[in-house]
Amino acid sequence: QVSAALKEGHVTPTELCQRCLALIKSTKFLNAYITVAEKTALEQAEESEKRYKRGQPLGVLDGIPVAVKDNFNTAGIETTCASNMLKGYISPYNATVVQKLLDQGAVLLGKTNLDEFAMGSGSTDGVFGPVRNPWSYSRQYKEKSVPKSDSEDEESNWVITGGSSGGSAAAVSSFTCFAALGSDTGGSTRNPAAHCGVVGLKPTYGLISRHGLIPLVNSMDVPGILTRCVDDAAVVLGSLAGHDPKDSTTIQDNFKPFELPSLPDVSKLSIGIPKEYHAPGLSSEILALWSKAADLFKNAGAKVTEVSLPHTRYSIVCYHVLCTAEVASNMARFDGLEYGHRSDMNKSTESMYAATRREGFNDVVRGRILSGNYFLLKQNYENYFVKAQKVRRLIANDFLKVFGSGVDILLTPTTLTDAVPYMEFIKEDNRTRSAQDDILTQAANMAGLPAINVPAALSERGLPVGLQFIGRSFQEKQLLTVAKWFEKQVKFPMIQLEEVKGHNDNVFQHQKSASFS
Amino acid sequence: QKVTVEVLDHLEHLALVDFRDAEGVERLQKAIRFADQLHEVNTEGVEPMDSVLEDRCLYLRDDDVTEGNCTNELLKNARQKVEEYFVAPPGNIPLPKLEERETFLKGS
Repeated sequence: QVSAALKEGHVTPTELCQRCLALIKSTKFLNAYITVAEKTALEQAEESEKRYKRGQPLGVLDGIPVAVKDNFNTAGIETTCASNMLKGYISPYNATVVQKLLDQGAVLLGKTNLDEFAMGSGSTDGVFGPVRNPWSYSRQYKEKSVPKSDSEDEESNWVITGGSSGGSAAAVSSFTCFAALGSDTGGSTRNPAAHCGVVGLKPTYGLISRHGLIPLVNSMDVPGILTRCVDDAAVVLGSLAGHDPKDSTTIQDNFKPFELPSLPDVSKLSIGIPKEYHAPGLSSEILALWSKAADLFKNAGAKVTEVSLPHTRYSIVCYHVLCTAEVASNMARFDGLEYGHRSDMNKSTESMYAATRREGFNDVVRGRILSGNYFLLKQNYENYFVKAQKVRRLIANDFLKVFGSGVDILLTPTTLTDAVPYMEFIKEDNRTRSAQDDILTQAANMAGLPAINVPAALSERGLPVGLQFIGRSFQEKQLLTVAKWFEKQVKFPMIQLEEVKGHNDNVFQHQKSASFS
Repeated sequence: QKVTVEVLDHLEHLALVDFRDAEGVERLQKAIRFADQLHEVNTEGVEPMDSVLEDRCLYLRDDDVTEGNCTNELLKNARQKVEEYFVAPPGNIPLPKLEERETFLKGS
C-alpha cells in the first residue's frame, strides 16, 4: 500500500523516513534499535525522492524504510551483535542481503537489538539490554492485565519479544519500519514474530546469501524476513533470494521472484499435522487455536491428516550439540587482533586472546564455546558430535518421508505459550529457556526447510499467538500462498498502541498503511 | 560422571575462554547431561549429515581476482597496528599452567 502511495506522490520518501525516525525516538523505551542511522537514512530517502520525481523508482522497495538486525555487516555503520566484543566495530562492507535492499532503494533506518551473538530466545541477553514487546503497551494487553497495585505501573509488567531477532520484530510491530531482517538458526525469526504478532519467514537454507551475516551455525543459519503481512514478505524475498558467488552455500538454481495470487486456493492441498508438535507445555489456548486452524483448512476442501515426525523430541538436543560445536569454531575468530575489542594484556598472544575473550563475551556465549569444545574433544567426538550429525539425518529424513507421502505443508504451533513477562523469563537461564522455546521451530533449521509464522489470534492476555507452516525445500511460493490464505481467514487485529509517556499518538494515526505491497 | 579438573583446564586452554566461576562449570555439566539424551536414539547404519545441501555440487568460480586492495579499510578496525601490520604480543608462549593462571579452577 505504501509503495503505491509513494508512486502516486501521496507521501514522499523523506516524509516517510522522517515519520519513522520520529516514531523510533518516541518508542525508544522499547529498546528495539541499537544504532539509528539517521543521517544516511535521510540521504537515502532524498535519493529515492529524486527517483520518484523522475518517475523512475527502482522497484517496489524504493523509499521503503527497513531495519536490519545487528549481526549483519553494514558498511560505515557500527555492527555489534549486542556484544562487548564488537563494540565500536564499523563494518567495512555490506552484507549481500543489505546490499540488495539498498540496491532496490530501501532506506536503512538502523540496526536492531538482539541476544548477544544471536544466542537466546528472548532478546534479553544483549549488552544493550532487553527488548520490550510493543504489545506490552497495547490497549489489548492492558485491558486484560490485572493491575497488581496502584504503585506498580506497566514498568514491571512488560513482556519479552522472544528472540533472538526481537529488535527486528519489535521494530516492525511498532510501525517504525516496514520490513526488517532477522536471522534464523533455531527459530530466531519465527519466535519473536509469533510473540510480536508479525509475519516471520525463514527461507530454505541455501536460498538467501549469508555473506555478511556474522555466523552462528554455518549449516543452519539463514537470514530471516519480518513484515506485517505475507505479501510484503514475498516482495522482500523476491529481492533477496538467488545465488551469491560470495556465499558458496547458496544454490545455483535460477530464482524467479513471484507474486502471490490475490485469491489463494487451498482446496487441492494436503496439510499435515505432526502429532509430536503437541509438546509438553503447549498452552491449551494454542492447542485450541491449532485445532481451529486445521478445521479451517478442512472446511476449505484441503486434505488434513495427522502425520508423525518421530525424532522431533531429539531435535533440540541435537541442535544443542551441533550449535555449540559450530559456535566454538565460529567464535574463535574473535581474538582482538584484527577487529573488535582488544584487551590491554600484552604478555603473550595467548594470554591476550584469553583476556580479550574473557572481557568481550557474556556468560551465554562463553558457556556455549566451552560446551562446544567439550563435544569436539577427541574422546567425545564420535559420541557427541558425530552422533548428533547422525540424528540430524534422521530428523531430516522424517520430513522427507512425510513430504514424500503426499503432504504439501505442515501446520504447527510456533511457540508453546504467548509472551511471558520479562520478570518471569529471567528466572530461568538462557540455555534452559532456549531449549524450551525453540522446540517447535528448531527442526525446520535442522532439515533446512522453509517455515513461516503467521499471526493467528490474540491470547486471553491480549498478546499475539502465531501458527507455523513448514514447507518443502525451495517451495516458498507454495508456502507463502498457504500462509496468505490463512492470513486472510484469521484477520489478525492491528495493535492498538496506547499514548505512552505523553507522546502524541497522532504519530500512530498518521501511519496510513500497515503494509507496503 | 563429573568432568575432571584436567579436562576443564584443557578446555580453557583450547577455547581461550574461562569458566569464571562454579556456575560456569555447572553449566557445562548440565549441558553434557542434556546432550547425553542423544544416546537414546538408535543410529545404527546412519551416515552423519554435514549439510542439507549434500546432494548438490559446490559452486566453483574462476580463479580470477575480482576484488581486494582494501588494506586501509581492513586496518581501520584494528586497535594496534604499525604500517600495514597487525601488531600482536609475542607468540610461542603457552598460556600459564593451572597453578599460575588466574582462573577459578585453581580452587577446585
